[in-house]
Amino acid sequence: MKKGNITILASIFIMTIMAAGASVGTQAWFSTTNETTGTYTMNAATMSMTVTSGTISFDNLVPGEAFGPVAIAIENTGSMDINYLGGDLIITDANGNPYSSDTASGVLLTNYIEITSWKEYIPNYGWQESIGAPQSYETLVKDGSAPLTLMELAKSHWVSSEPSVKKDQFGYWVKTTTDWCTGDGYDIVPEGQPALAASGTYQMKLSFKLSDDTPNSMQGKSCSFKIVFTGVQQNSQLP
Amino acid sequence: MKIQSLIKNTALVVICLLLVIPTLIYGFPFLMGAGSSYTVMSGSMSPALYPGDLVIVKETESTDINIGDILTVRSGELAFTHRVVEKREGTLFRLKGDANEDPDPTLVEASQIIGKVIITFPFSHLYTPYGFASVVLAPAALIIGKQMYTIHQFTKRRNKRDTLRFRRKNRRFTMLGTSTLLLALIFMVGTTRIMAPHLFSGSSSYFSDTETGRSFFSTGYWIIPAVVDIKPDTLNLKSQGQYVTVNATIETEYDENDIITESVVLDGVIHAEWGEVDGTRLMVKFDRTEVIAYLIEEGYGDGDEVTLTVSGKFTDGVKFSGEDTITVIN
Repeated sequence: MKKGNITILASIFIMTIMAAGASVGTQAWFSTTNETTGTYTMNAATMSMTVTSGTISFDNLVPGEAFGPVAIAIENTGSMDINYLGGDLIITDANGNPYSSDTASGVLLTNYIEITSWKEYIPNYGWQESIGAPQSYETLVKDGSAPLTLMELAKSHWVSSEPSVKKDQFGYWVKTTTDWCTGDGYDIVPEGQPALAASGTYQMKLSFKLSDDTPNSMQGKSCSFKIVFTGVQQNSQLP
Repeated sequence: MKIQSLIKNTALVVICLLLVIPTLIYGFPFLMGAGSSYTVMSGSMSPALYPGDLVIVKETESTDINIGDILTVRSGELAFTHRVVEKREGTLFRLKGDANEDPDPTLVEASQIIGKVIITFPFSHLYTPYGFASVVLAPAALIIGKQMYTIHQFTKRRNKRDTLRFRRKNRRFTMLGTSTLLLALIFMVGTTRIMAPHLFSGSSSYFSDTETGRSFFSTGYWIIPAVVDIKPDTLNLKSQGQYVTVNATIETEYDENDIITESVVLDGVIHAEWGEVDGTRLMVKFDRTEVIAYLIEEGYGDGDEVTLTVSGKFTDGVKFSGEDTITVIN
């Protein structure tokens, strides 16, 4: 074969390789820059949540009185799906700070606040009743034979083995497990689905009753709780 | 022509080195004395790190880690790269992604730390349309263009003189000139980096946000406390007096005028004989013989201190109650 012909063949070969390489590279670039999955997010996505409900208070409670619901709504205001949404219930003083002593009257009062209903609204799945369901917190925390109290719910996340972690930003009662978590196979949301897609709103409604057995020493006392919601992309990142 | 080609090749060499040196260090981090390297996979650390940037991570003693350092940390099967915002007892760290509103919900233990980020290469630029065009599209287009020109040269119809000159000129023709090789290198490194998120494990994304919902409860009084004063303070069991007198005041918004005087009882057993509300004070009288009989029955004797409860109801059914201590003598 003449040298010229070999050169032409080689040129065509190089051109083919470059064209193929460039098309693979282009595909990779498009898929990479548009993808937002659990492991990577190459675009300018953001995650942000906003609590759209205010502080709710109930005053002058007397034994046997049912009150509520406390409704809390969380909106995903970022551009990214929140795959997992976890919550921490923390007993706090009126200013939202954790108590430094577990014999403070506000902490003791939570022993007599019974949770009578716990409902969660997850976009696409509607309202779900959690207490009484097989995977309920009532059964996770205790055997379900007696009403679940606010204290028991807070204590279910209690860690005593790690004193250094105990007084966390999450307060006096700290959660380490992910037992109250929704998203991708947890709780109500099926595998592969985010707990709270971008611009979706998660809601929670809790109803209470002041126990019939509330002692007189609990008169005129007050307590407060906060629920710290944490949205993450991977379950290993949940607190 | 010579100078032009020199400038062109120098420029290509510089671009090559900018791509190749970081890639080499990324591939062999020990060259920089580091232990590992990661591709940043998310924008949670922007603007310090953008997705696609390369980070070279060096193992560091937890005592040498300071607030503000960027750490790569193991989390489950993944790793993430965030900044230290809080140090606790030397072995626990609170990290935060610069782009996240709140710190990470989980604390990091010293054992999870892979190391401190010592060098970052801004390879995220490769993922921008311009970066992509410069390292993938342009080199590919230039190489293809050059080959098309070669084919054109070799297939062009020429007269004899031209052909001879062309052959003479191309006696030492090489398919792959320096610039083609450099372009090919840029293309290869660039394409590999762009495909990297699909091929290699990186420092994964860690976006998180924390929000707090609050609620506040307070109990009312279902037994309203009353301040009670029982007269006499010292009760002689042999006393012949007619009454035991009780003065009570309520220190809440409940009004003494709403007390049902007939409902007032002493220690839950002795009913009041008489009662009235005078301004902000309830006064009730109990039959002294009844009280003495009760105290004797309860076994109190000379010198005993007795706490007696006075309780009653308001018109709306709410109870009040108060206590006072008297001394019994005989």
